[in-house]
Amino acid sequence: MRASFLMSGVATGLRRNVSMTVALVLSTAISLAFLGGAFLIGKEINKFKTLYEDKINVSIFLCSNISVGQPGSPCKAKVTQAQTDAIGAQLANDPLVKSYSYISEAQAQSRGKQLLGDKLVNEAGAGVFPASYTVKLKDLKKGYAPLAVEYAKAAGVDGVQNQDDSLKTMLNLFDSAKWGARVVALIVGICAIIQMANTIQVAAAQRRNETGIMRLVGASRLMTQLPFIIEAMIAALAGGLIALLFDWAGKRFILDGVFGEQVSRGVLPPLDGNDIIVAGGVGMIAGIVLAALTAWGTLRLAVRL
Amino acid sequence: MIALQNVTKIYPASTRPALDGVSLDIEKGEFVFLIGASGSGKSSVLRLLLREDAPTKGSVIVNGKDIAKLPSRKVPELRRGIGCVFQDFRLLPKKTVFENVAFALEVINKSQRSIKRGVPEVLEMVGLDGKAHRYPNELSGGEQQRVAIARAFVNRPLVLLADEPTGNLDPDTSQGIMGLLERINRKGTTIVMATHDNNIVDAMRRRVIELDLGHVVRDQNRGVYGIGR
Repeated sequence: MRASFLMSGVATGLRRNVSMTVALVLSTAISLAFLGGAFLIGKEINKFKTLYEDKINVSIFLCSNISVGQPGSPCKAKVTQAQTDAIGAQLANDPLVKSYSYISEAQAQSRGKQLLGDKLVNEAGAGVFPASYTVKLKDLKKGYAPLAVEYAKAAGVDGVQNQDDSLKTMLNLFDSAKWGARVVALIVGICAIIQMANTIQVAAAQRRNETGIMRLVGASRLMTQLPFIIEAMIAALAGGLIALLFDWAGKRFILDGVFGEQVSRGVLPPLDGNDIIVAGGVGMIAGIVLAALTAWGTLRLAVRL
Repeated sequence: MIALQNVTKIYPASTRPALDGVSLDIEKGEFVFLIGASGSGKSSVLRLLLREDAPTKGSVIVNGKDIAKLPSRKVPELRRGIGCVFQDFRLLPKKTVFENVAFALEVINKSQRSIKRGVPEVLEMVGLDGKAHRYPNELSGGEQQRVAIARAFVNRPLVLLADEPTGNLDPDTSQGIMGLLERINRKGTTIVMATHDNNIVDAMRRRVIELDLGHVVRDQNRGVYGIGR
């Protein structure tokens, strides 16, 4: 079957059902926009994690006078210089560790004074700000758990703490948004598929005479199905293009608009045009493939064309 | 050319077989009338020849091949060698005469050149030259049936099946259509025509195969429709 003949049939089909085609395009667009949104939020989470993981340190707090005898503390005495040196040496040879620095009790005290003021720190007494090692890991996700276990056992160590904990709330929030967008994309996607199947059934019923004649004069099953499949794919393509606009608008008005200040201050990582194109493109391809499969399945199983 | 060998066709919802052990042979170039009352099995024979249905039992041979065993993917190829004409014309109302006839060639991927050459040729043969750009609703019933015949014949099929082609036409127009089918038959195309039209059968004096409740009850060369029917 020649392409021009095929496409003229497709154009006629799309024109004949304009209102249903428009509904199909819009529901596909909304579904794909949510899918793209979920993809973009995922991207934002990854960028956010990368941005902050680089800045996150692990602190190994050493035993101070105050920590000795505290409930839950393993400290039996204030850390000795030998124990401090031993921990330093262990960190220097640890393959999990990218870099580390030592903060003495005096340095910690002086930082505390900068943050809280002299009076409060003097009243609290020595040892409130213990000496510590600040460690940057090569891989925070993989390295933290074994490092925490290993160094918590070392003599002179009060505890190991990950600064990542404070970021978890924000990441959880992002994660919820991502899953929310995925669920909405799935629900709207199912609606779009059902609508697509219905539209194809109606179109096939309207053109039963035409397809009947096609079969009669020797057209193969694929030839009779192809115009419907292409129509569904074109609707998905149009929906995908609109979804791309929705995704761009989401970036422009939500990330760059509502959260514009946080993005410009570097608190939130920005998304660029490539991210939108990839999100929209992946959604569009997924939509087109799904549309073709839905059309083919409907024609085979429901319409028996 | 065509052979039915002990063919039985039972439809799931039916209480009796539509065809019950039917055997018949049709030679290349023959013109055969299938007659019989409604439900006698005429349309079932045509449906089997077109492979719209498969027989429950027996063989259906067309052009040397048992089409009962033909895989679905080969059915289009079979149909390209068989033309079909129906009582209700089955034309596409939004296509012109030319486009309706060309449609049969477009779907089997014929070149534009052969379409532009073949369609006017066949339209002239059926007496519709000059009406190529009319739409079906601008034509009389007889003219519409001529378009349907042109579409069935444009691919020069070996066999032409006609299911009550004159059923919707007045006697004069019917005669014109029969004249056209006779001309096609003279070009070597085998014609199998199911009909209730006794005047046509009696006038043509061709082979008559009569079916009754799924059985062949008469097979007569130069036959007539029969008295009292």
